Amino acid sequence: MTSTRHTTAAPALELTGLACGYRVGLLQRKREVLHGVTLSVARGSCLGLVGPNGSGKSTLLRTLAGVQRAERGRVLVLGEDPRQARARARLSYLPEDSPFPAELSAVAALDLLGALSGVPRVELRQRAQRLLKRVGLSEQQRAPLRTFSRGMLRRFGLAQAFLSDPEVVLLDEPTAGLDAPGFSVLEDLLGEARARGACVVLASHLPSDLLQHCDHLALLLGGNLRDHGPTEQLLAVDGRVQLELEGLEAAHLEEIRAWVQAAGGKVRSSSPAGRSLLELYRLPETPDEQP
Amino acid sequence: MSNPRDASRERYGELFSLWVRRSLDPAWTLPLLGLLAVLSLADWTPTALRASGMATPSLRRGLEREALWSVALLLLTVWTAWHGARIMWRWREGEWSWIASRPATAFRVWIATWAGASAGLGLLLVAMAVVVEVGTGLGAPTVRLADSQPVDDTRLEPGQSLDIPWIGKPPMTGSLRVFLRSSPGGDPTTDVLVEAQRGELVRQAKLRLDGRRPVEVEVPPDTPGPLVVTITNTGGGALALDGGQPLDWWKPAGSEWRGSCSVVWRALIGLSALLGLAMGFGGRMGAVSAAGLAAACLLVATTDPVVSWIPFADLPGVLTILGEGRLPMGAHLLLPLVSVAVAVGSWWTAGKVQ
Amino acid sequence: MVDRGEGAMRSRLALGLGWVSVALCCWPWQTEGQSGVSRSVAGVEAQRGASLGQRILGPVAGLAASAEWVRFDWYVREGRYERAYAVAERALALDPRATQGWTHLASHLVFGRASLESEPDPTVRLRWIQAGLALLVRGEGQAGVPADLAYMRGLILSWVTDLEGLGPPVAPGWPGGKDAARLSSADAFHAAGTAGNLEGFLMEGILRTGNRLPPPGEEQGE
Repeated sequence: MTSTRHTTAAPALELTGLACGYRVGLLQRKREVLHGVTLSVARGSCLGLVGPNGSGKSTLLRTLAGVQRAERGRVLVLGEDPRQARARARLSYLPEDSPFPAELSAVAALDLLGALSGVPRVELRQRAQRLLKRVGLSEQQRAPLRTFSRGMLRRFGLAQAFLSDPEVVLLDEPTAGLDAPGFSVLEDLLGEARARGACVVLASHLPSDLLQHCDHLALLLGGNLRDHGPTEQLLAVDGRVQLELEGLEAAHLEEIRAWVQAAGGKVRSSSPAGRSLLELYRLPETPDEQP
Repeated sequence: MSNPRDASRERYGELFSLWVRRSLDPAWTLPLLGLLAVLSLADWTPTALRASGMATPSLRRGLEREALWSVALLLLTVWTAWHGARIMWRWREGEWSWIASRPATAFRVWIATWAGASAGLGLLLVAMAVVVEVGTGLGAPTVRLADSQPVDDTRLEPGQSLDIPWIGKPPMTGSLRVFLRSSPGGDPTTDVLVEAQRGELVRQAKLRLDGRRPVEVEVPPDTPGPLVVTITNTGGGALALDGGQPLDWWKPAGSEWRGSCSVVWRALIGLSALLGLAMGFGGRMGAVSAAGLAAACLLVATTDPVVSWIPFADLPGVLTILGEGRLPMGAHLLLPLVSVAVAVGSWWTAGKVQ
Repeated sequence: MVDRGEGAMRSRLALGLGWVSVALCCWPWQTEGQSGVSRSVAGVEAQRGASLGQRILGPVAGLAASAEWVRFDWYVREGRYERAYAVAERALALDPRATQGWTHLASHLVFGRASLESEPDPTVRLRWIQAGLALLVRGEGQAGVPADLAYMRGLILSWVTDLEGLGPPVAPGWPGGKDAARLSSADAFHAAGTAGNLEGFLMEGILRTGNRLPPPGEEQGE
């Protein structure tokens, strides 16, 4: 999980006292969503942004992507203001919903997005085909996006996010609507991005989605950064471990439970572990395949 | 890590194409063209005109063209204002997320969007012109308004004459038309003699005037000398020269269908400007308010036909000329620039969308 | 995701109805022609009903028609007769029961366009008079007081028979000559009387007696 490559000491993302808001209502009153967030994310790392609905995760990502202007404070992406085109050329952003042009086909939409990103025309079509195949949309590439399901749109969103080989990847609720194979695709793409030294920021209100990907977590509550640090440190509870056992009989399990209690510990929960959905999808049709 | 942007720059052609496509949404364009096709089947010649036998084929075609284009432009204007205002709404609703996070420059995105939507409107106008001309039957050779010369309001008592020398490039062919009105204070009608003289050659037109009527006299053929138009009140009542309408020179031109080309060009320029206005207002207010305000600006523009460099200003006059079975003068050369300037200026009206 | 639900169907239906409404509003509605009713208005009473414009606009149709008549007058003053007649047609289609509309347009055609002061060519004047008379015949099938239109028709036909300016012997003159015009005039007054304008019977009597015209039913036609 820890990135094996740090290109320079300068952080990929640097926020200092960031405050953002919206103007709402007839009188256009200002409503502040983020209140003085200060955060630094190193290059090559993966940050998980967690918090309940309305905590400001999407607003933070939009500000990092250059879509929204900061009211106060400073935002630097790879050392530059994200509102500069130079900075935006090196990042990519997956919005929370999927507001892509619904009338375009997947491949046409990637052409459009890649053109606006400055991906060379010669490379663009090859990358688009490769990514659509990776995310499992090869057969639907000519269909208009309006015919896509929510999960398919998410996959398309992932494809466009990795189209230009960005150095910073900002993903807002990337797992929303994704099925089990989609999760696998996301994992592969994240792994590749981190392998080449990209910084990834994932925002989700479901912590379990992020645990396995993120080496750092930042907790947002009510627009304030309540806590941040390494995932293990933030989520670990002293003396608590999780085991998944296989190939034991019920009597053995009782013995293990008794030993834990004798050693002064406590068995907090015990339930049968089953297959993941992905394993279920991959049940062998031929005798050679292994679940 | 390779950064593809090192080798290339953002391209806006695909965005341009997207908005061309959106402006030609079949859900809207097909019913509009269908409506025009259905309306072209109707008889637009008033019964009274038909019964009197005064409706020439050219006049019938002109009346049909004027009616069809009036309906078409009214609908298209309303839709364009709405379409432009909705662009900003679409951006606010989410499309700006994937645009603004790209290294594309916001101003170039604005221009590409406006240009694409305008190009789509242009294609739609061409399709409408085809439907109109197929419905009216293309037409025959007609005359075009070649030049105009302002005239002053003048009253002529019985027996009085007025000489109007033609200033500028002298007409060599065609006809001259002036609007006259029987003036109160004497007999309600009078007779008028209009002469066009160049050198020894004179052409005449006589008319019994009851109310306001146009009088047209043939231009003397190509002979040396200045051209002078003489209006003589030969009747018993008073005569007034209508200064609100200039002295027009009509010369033989192409076929009547070219009138639709004039309308397409002028409408494209006007609608592009309206689109830009609506986009600009849409950046500051809701789509409905922006569309309404843009349409109100359009209304103001069409109430003063004298300012010919304002897009849409002379379109009502052009449609009137089409209704007579004639062709209008070419559009002002500044018009396209004005349209572009409005679109660029709307960028600031919208608050320089960031 | 494609919305194939009820909402999508409803909005398509609304859109379709909207386009139909636009087409109905833009169509150049013209008053229906009533051929062969120059003799009597009684036979066409059953055909008089609300026009489509009246059915759609209801009481507003009359107001809309009034606005159109204002525009008609303006166009006539400006000399734009083609637009004036188009506007008049629409006004009559909106409110065909307004008798004054029919008489107003007929007066313009017969006493305006066909006047000696306005048109020196007798052939052209004849066409304008015939256009006005045809309009009145159409109106008798639709107007609220068809008797007034028939009476006006009688007056016009009497007028042309006495109008020397309609043309010297070499000009076309009235088809069938003065006798035909007087006979048509008498028939028109008879129709007016039948429809309720008793003065029509009086005028008819004067015409038939003074010019020794056959009684109604025995004439050879116009």
